[in-house]
Amino acid sequence: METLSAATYQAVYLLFTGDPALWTIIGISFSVSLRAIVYATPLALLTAFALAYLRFPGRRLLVSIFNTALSIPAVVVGLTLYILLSKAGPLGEWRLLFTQEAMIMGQFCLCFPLLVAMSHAALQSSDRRAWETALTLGASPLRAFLTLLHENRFGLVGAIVAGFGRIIAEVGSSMMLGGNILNYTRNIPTAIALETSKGSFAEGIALGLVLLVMALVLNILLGQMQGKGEVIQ
Amino acid sequence: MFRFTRILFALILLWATVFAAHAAPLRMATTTSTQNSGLLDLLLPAFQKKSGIEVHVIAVGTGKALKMGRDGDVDVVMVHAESAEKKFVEEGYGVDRIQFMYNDFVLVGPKSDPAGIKGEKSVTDALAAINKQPIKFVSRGDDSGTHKKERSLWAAADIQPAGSWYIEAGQGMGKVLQMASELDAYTLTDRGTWLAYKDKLDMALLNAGDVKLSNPYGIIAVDPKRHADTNYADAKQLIDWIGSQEAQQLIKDYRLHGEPLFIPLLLN
Amino acid sequence: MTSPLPWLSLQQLYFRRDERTILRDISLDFRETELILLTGQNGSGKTTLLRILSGLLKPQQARLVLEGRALSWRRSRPLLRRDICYLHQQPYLFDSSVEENIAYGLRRQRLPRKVIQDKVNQALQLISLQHLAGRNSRELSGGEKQRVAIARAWVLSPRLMLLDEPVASLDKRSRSRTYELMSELQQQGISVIYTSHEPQLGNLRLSRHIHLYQGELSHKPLAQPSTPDQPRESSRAGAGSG
Repeated sequence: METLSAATYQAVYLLFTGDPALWTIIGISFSVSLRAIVYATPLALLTAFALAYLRFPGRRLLVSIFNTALSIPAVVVGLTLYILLSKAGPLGEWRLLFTQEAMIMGQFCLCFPLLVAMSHAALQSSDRRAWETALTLGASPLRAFLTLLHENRFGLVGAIVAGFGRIIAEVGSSMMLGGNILNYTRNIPTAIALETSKGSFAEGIALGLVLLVMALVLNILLGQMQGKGEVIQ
Repeated sequence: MFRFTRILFALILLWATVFAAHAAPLRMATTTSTQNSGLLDLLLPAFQKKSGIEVHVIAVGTGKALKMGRDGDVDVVMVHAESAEKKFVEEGYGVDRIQFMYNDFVLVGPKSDPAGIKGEKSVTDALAAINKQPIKFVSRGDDSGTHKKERSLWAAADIQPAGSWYIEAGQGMGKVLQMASELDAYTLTDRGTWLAYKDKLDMALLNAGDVKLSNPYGIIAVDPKRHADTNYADAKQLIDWIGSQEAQQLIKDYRLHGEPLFIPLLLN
Repeated sequence: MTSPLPWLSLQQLYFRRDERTILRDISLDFRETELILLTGQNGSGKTTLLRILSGLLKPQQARLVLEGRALSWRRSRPLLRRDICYLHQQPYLFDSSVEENIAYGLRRQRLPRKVIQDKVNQALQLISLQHLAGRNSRELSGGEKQRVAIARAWVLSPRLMLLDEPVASLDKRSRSRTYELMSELQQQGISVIYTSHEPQLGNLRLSRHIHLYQGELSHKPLAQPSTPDQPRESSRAGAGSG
């Protein structure tokens, strides 16, 4: 019988011997999720800024909508996009279903509300004098916005890391929209789901370890950065 | 307020114990395609009525189903992977294996059939025709019974499938059918899943009937000598009943979307 | 001091927030090189008036005449931002070095590196904080922050600086330093409006004293400085004018 420790040992062996199949999956995972977060972040930051700094009708409603959207399950996002992108769906002509682009769309939709909600919380509690000071010193609104982001970088990087954490480990929408195709749309979570269904736990554990190590590294970096920020303040 | 919480707790406890009281049923691992065929929804209630034994079905891939048997996580395994089943018994994990019915695999693809496999007698010739055309083929790619069958058919056709046309999906049969439909690709499927899904797909059944496409089902009890805590007695009772004339007749009469799906092997 | 033509004239300014009139029919002229004290109770609209002048708030109604030309609020806003600099009661310094803070506005003007460095050095000399140039601004004391903020505005050569309660939260020593700096600014031809709870302070040569009461503006007579000549102030003035 394959015990947990034996499977873990084999997993570490697979990782350190540079098993190409394993590392392809890891590469796809990071490539897709990084692209999703890179596309989502600027738009999310602008939205969060508008919600925190501008007064317009419907602002409170929008904040509630984004906070609610946090709890939409990944499979619902996956299903909705699947219906839109399917051959019979309104966007079927794009032929995007079962491509990396479809996965990116899904992950974009998943991390966007989280990015907006967390960045909004950070900017809402931020010091308004930063924005005003930049403007009075002759900064353009865009430059003042960038200054504001820099001043609140600890909270905002925290939001981005949380958003990345949500999508890198997400299985529902990636499985539905990407199709778990070998060497193309098979990422860490869908591969874990597949390996588990095949009963080969070593590969699953190896990939799980990658996610665990990544989460650890990100959190340590974030903690250090925020620790430094606290000392200065 | 306190009283209300107490009552609530009591209710939750009661609810939990009521559901826990149903413990110790017979646990059976089977494949998703078996579950999706709907046959178990007919057989298992009939068995429970007769024996009083409740069967909990865990539907996973063939590989995982056999692994659950190996680890003693289930009491009985119902799969359709002949050589893997034999190995499972030979290695001493299972006993009392019977083959009790079969269905068949079919090749499905775009209605326009660009590879022209319709009417092809030999399934290996059909696969060779698909390989010659710049057209996609979606493979289960999940080490399931269907996947193993497909790999053996490619081997029989002397083709090493690889490249961007050969899409290894790593998902269940229903999902793979949807993908093939979306991508205008061919795929190999069991007839049961095909019948269940065909109305939702933009595809046609294009090739069937070759003896190589037959798909026998086996049921095996987990060897109690290896895992003492398994429910062997009930497992044996289920296997005996599946082989009985009553169950075999039920299998013969079973219809999915008006079409017969399984052919019993033990009917007199 | 004679009264030349005002460079900026504000007329019939009204500001309302949530149905409440904060400022009512304000009219105010600004001439070159003035030091104006603005007093009033909490909530009288002092800060609001300063924020309007700096372009951070938009009044519901106002007539603006800049250099003899009547301008709409929209068109005057960028011009006001160029000529007028507003400092918060507790100035906000960016999370970077003192030097970087002072250079912030200059960088927005895309000046050559050398020019920026020269101006930053002059500003550091003005506030006597050369030794803290590389320090992160968050590590400074309240008085030092105040001076850095004044230097950061000074390098942009504004015509008018608006100081909101510049000494309210400072200790005695920092207060007198800030007053010295304000008279230095005035000598360099920069007008200053500052608000205060204390009616008249230090040895500043006030040009005017204006008072807000329930949103309405009035002029108050100037009191004489108590001790007209203090040695420390005159020495600083001599050093800075060069």
